[in-house]
Amino acid sequence: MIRGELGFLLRGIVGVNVLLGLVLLTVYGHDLPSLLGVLAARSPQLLFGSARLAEFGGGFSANILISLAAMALAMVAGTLLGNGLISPSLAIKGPCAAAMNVLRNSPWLVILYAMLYLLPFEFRLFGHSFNFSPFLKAVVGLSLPIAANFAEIFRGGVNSIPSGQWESARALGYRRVQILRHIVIPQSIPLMIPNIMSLYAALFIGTSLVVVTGTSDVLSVTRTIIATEGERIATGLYIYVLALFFIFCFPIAVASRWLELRLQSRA
Amino acid sequence: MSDANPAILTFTDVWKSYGDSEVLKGISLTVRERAVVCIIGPSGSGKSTLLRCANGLVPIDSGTIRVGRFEVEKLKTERSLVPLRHEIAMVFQQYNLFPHRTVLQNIMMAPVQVLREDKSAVRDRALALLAKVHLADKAKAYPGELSGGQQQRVAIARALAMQPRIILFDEVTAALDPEMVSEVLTVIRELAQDGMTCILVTHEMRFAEELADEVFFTDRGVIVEHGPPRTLFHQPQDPRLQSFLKKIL
Amino acid sequence: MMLLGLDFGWLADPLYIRWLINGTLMTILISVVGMAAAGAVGVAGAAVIHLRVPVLHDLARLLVELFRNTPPLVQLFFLYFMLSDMGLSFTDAAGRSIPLFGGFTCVVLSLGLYNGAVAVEIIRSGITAVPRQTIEGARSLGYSRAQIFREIELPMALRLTMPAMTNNIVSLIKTSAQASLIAVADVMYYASQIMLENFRNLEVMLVIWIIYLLIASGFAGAARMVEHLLRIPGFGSQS
Repeated sequence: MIRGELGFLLRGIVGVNVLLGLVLLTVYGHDLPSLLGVLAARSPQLLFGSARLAEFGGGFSANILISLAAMALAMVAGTLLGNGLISPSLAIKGPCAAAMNVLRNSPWLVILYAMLYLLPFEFRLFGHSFNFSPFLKAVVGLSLPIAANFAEIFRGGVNSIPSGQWESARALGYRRVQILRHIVIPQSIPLMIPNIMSLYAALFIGTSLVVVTGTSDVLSVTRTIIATEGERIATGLYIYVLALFFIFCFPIAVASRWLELRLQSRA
Repeated sequence: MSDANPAILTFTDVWKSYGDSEVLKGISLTVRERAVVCIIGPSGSGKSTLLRCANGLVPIDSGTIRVGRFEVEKLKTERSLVPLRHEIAMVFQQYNLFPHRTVLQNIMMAPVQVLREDKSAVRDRALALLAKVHLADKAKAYPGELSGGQQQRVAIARALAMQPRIILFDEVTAALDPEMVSEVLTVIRELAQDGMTCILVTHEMRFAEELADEVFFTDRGVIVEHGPPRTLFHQPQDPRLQSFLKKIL
Repeated sequence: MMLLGLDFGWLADPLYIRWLINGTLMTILISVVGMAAAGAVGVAGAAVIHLRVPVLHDLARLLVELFRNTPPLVQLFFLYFMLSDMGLSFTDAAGRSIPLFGGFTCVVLSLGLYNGAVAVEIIRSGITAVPRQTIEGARSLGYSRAQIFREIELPMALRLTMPAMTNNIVSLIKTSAQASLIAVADVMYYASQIMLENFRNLEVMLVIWIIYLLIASGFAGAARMVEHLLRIPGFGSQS
């Protein structure tokens, strides 16, 4: 079965890039070689943030770093929120469900702006003063909606365990926290993994929005280049960025679908 | 089995409703120690609910339940129910083994994690129980690799590992293919002969007739008739029991 | 008016209120047109792929994967610059040259492509959920492939996948906020205008947040009512 998915993956990557190439050809015609030259020359800046490879951490690599940091933060917060969602106590479940609904129905752009204005410029932790850089604000801003989605995945995973497991565990004398820890959560983790992977892909796509926080990510670099080189190359640049995101996200999507099919056939 | 054995489980006028529907309407029964009791009746008559009230899985609305020295209706928190579940164990129709643990781990888990017993002592006991249900060679297998009958026998061993005085069986052969029913019934028969108090909700009438000391017939939340199997099956008094027996025998 | 130490007094200004109302209406308009576009793309794409139309099938699959796995914002910028590059415009009665593809069109197109691609996959998964016996029954009655798709698979798929489609609708409304980044006058855009004037950034953002929540809840509630009206008794999860 992996042969088929792998083939699909390769055909997808090749096919889409060919398609994008054709679009470039249509738009630029005989200007294409010079455009490709500019794209190649600007690649280090787009990918890493600066022409000097020593300065790593901007451009596309910023998108990657932000997504990883936000995912980590979101998984921690999401697990807490998820536990609140499955709590039998209404006093805990109510506010958690409300928070989750608010975050899932809010535009990520609004949340990012709100974080931009809500979070201070600096904060003190253990006696040290930290700068709340745009990067950090972007990480926190993105982690909020992702945490809400993660909590929903967590809740779905726990609820998918048949009630017979709960019943026999209780008959053996297990209490609720023990049942979650020893029996329910270990069984639900494999089921949650494909959803977590798609969530990460969605998060990565969402990092395209951090340009509004002033972080120097790939879109921010793109704007700078357009300002320097002129609007003529804008289309080509955005196609390049499309290709970058596609090559990163498409394999994750294919892998998560393959995993999900495998888990379903085993169940 | 003599009538002089003390009562180990007593229901007194137990009522239970789910919302508007009354499931148990004044159940009263007594089970003596070392007895085998079977509960039969049409579906929806409250048999499974009755069992689940005995070990506290389902709280009752009124009445009292006495199991050993426990007053079950007074145990409100999960923590207070733990000692009761040491005393009375349950085996389910869907076996409900934990699929992510091996057979041996399934049997050992609860005594170690719930009762906090010493691991090596539990392991010896678990292996002995596996031998008792004739599955000694399957210790390292996973439930998914076993047949239904084998899984059910593991479930019985898992219940026995808690060293209970009473075991509840909730239609444990109903989900099995016919050829596997007898291997499970054999294990239950051996348990009864060893002196375990067993309460079975079952459709296996011949098994009930052979092994039970007393049979209870429930219909729509009440115990309609009860008595030794010979009288109940061959000289049924109540017309509801008569028509029920005619349908299944 | 102060609330929790934040100044909401600017809400009393009639100009700002008019801006917010105009912006909200524009956001709703973008969302509705975007949904129509996404719906059209979704059905067309699902049809082309499911019926295995030669050439178009592979092209559609590539396009769906492309638009699902790339940021809608980048798609928006790409469309904006590409379409203005191609210089398509028409002259109106006064002789002025009006770009054919203004900001509004670009936003709606990008929403149609992104959420449309998501819709294609949702509809396709709904089609696989239609029981095979139903299809076999239709075939033995003489229905053609296209007829089966139009009369049976599509209607059932749409009903079965309403929860996922509702999520897609909410996602579309959330994504529409990026219209402000190409100067389309939606509620987000007006918000930034207000912020430029009164510098009450946090308060303005909170109000916008609430407006979006109301819009999203409104559409989600309407979608749930439609789902309830159209549900198939005895099918799928009953809740």
